[in-house]
Amino acid sequence: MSDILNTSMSDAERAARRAKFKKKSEIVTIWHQFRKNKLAVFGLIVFMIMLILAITAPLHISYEADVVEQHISERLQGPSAAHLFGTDAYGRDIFARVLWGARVSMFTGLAVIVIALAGGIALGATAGYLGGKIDNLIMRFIDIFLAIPFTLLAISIVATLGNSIRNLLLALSVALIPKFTRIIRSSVISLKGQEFIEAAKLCGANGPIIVIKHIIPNALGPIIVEGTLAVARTIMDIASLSFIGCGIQPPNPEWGSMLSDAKAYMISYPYLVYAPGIAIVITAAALTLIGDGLRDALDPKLRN
Amino acid sequence: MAEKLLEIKDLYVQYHTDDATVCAVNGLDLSINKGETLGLVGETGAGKTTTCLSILKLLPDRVGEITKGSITYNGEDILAASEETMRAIRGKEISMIFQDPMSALNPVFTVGDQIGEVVKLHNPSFSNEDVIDRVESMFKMVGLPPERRTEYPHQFSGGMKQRIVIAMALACEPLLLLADEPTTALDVTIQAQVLRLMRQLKEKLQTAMILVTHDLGVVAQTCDKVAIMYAGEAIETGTVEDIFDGEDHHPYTVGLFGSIPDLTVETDRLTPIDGLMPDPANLPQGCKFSPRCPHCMDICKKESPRAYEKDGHIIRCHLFDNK
Amino acid sequence: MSDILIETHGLKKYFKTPRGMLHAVDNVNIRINRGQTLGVVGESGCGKSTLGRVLLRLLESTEGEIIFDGKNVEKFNKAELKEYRKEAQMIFQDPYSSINPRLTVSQIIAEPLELFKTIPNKLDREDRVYELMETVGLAERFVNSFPHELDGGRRQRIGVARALALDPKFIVCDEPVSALDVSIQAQILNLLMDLQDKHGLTYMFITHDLSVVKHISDEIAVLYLGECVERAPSKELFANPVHPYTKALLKAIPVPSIHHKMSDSDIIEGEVTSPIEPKPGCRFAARCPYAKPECSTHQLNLKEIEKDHFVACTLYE
Repeated sequence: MSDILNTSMSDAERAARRAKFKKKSEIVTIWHQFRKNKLAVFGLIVFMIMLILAITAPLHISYEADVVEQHISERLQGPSAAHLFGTDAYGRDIFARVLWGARVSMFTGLAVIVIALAGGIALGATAGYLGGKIDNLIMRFIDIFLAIPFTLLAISIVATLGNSIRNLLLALSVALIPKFTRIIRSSVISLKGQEFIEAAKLCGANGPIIVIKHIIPNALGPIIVEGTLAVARTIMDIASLSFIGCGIQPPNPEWGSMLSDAKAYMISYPYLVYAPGIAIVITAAALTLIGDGLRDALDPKLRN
Repeated sequence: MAEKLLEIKDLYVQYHTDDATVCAVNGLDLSINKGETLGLVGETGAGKTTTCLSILKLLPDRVGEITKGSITYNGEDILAASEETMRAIRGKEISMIFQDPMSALNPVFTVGDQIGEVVKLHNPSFSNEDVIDRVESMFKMVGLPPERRTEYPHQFSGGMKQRIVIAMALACEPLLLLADEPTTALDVTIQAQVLRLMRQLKEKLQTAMILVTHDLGVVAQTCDKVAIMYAGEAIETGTVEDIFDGEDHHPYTVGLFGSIPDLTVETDRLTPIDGLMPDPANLPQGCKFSPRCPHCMDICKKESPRAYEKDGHIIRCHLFDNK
Repeated sequence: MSDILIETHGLKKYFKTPRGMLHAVDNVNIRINRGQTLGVVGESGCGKSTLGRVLLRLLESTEGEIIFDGKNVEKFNKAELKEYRKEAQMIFQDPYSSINPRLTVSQIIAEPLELFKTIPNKLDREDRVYELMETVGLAERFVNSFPHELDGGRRQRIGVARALALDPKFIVCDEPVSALDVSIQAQILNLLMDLQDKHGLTYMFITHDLSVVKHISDEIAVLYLGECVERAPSKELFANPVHPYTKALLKAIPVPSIHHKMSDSDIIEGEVTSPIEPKPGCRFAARCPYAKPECSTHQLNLKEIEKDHFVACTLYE
């Protein structure tokens, strides 16, 4: 077969040809699919609002003055013009604390997911693709962690290593990695047998290239959805841990610890519960809707 | 004298999706008499499966819609029939076999239970022993050992599973069997066995059959009448002699015969039909085959051809206008 | 330079299963000359797909030799194996699962070029992709389309273009048209034959469809449960089939003519027996209408009964 390429085409002609058949961005296609799901879009809007509120909080709220400083004379006031959600047992503005708490919850939640995803993909892809003894080793190790109830595991880690945000992140990630590993491993195993992987081997691809270029992008669907849903659960887990005193420490505002503080005053002053409680529910629900929407949007089979 | 069992007139079926409306069936005319085997031939997207599902009113909820036309079974207007009437018809008067035997059987029930379910549904007065008797006789009829009725689908091979599916479909001795590519997934030697079985059962039970297939060889071996579908229409219908030995043919039919490598003929190059079947969401004006037709005339692009008939052989093509 | 491009001697591939050794390919000897096509036919479980993969070392053989262009493929080290990929390629059966759904057409076709760095310049690679697309009849407007936007026939053309990218000498075609509609099958078969004429390609064409294989093959090997039971030039096999299985296979094909009706006596009974720990002797004996007691004990080898026509059967010992 002749190796003489058609070099008669000028660079300008090539550029014109490239422009003619522009590649449709995958992200745009995914967005179009996502948009069709009204509930998912609603969830996205709500989450974006929470996110923006969280990010812009420092612009109008001073941490020292509004969030931490106690104004005992103003304690346990109901909602009013000055304090939208009222004040808590220490006279602190609940609205300000909820907003600031959003920062803590969301950013910690997202950080946990990112770490857990990285760990889960690395372990799951390795176990799934290599199989055999390495698979066995990794999965038995994972099984140990899965056997321990999640909250217990998180508490043990924090209790052993001490109470800090870093240890909280560690505890939550360690508890989450096994689940992601399993999901990725399962996707990888089913993809491994597909013919396009054999084709990639014939094209000269070695193990790492196959895993990174061919397998992981196709395995991401389920994990992206799980990841989104896991952010919701992690936010609730942070709240739970803080509720029992193992998470974010006072005076740092955190929705869960705010709920814990409200325990004593719940009957006479129920509004202490409403604001943080509703914040948790709204955020978790919004993320769940987004996760569902993403799952449908990412499935190429649902497109046609 | 031949007795008409099923008649489809001017049927239009559409699927409504988010992006577009898919016109799967566009003005289909078909009829089948008692005890007859009609081969429904066409490629992917021609509308064959949609037609079968429409006969049984099993189109997907909300998405599939019969927009026009009539389907008459044994004098009964199917389109006007209630769901209750349809349930009485499905499995008992009209049965269907689907293409993939692997997914037609429920993996968690024994095969005997699955056949038994059909029998019991249409014969509520049967006792358990009666049901088992019928199941065992069906097994014998399809050439499987009756003791195996207590086994699960995964314990059978592909060919055997298809026999079980056939047994299930014929358990209540329906008058009409819709078989959607029943042997496509099978090895050719097993296909021969299954086709022979279907032929024998047809003779014994006098069941009429609509056999959906893309394999003209299967059609020649098993069918009495043939309807060739393209883009939701029957572009040529006739007896099997008309289609295989006749002189006049729709250009698509000619193209189909030219595409198949025939064992009995020496050819150098195959003569495939250029192009692809039109997108059912975007059908061309006039004759739907016109963009690919080597004999396309001006009128073909504007007007959809009527059915031109000669001694029962119908061809929808402007080339046969004067017949 | 020998006429023979690829040949095997005593090639075996066994798989370990909980119930015993699965004999997927058992003692297969084939030989394909340059520029020719060997059709490999058989039904489920005959081992034809496994054979194709073993030849390309997508699967490692259990025993036996594979000699490509005078070199022992089964002994290749990593570097030699990579070079082998440039010479021997595959076209897969399923146009849906054989291409990565997340890559565009041009990315799929360009992948072998990128990995082998045969064309270092990115723009030249782009040209080559367009050239390949034109060769296989893919319109240039599809260059940045995703596979799910195209129909089965076009997807299969992507697979053909990818296989041709490195300019191979030998292509294993694993049922390349089985998943396609009849009229598209014809288009792809014509394409494959044209490419063979133009570029002197050597094919192993695996299929279960005898009518297709007659059209495209020079020689045909019939496999049953991992063994080759008959091998002959294409016309000879159809004119004069000898092995009882070959005869049954040919008779089982429904002929598209109402004057050639299949009679019940043509149809062989039973199903394929298990390839796990097969009993000695002929594996077709259980279903063979001519079976004799020796068939179950005698170990069979291919014997030449006429020029280039080989058969493994006690009837011809």
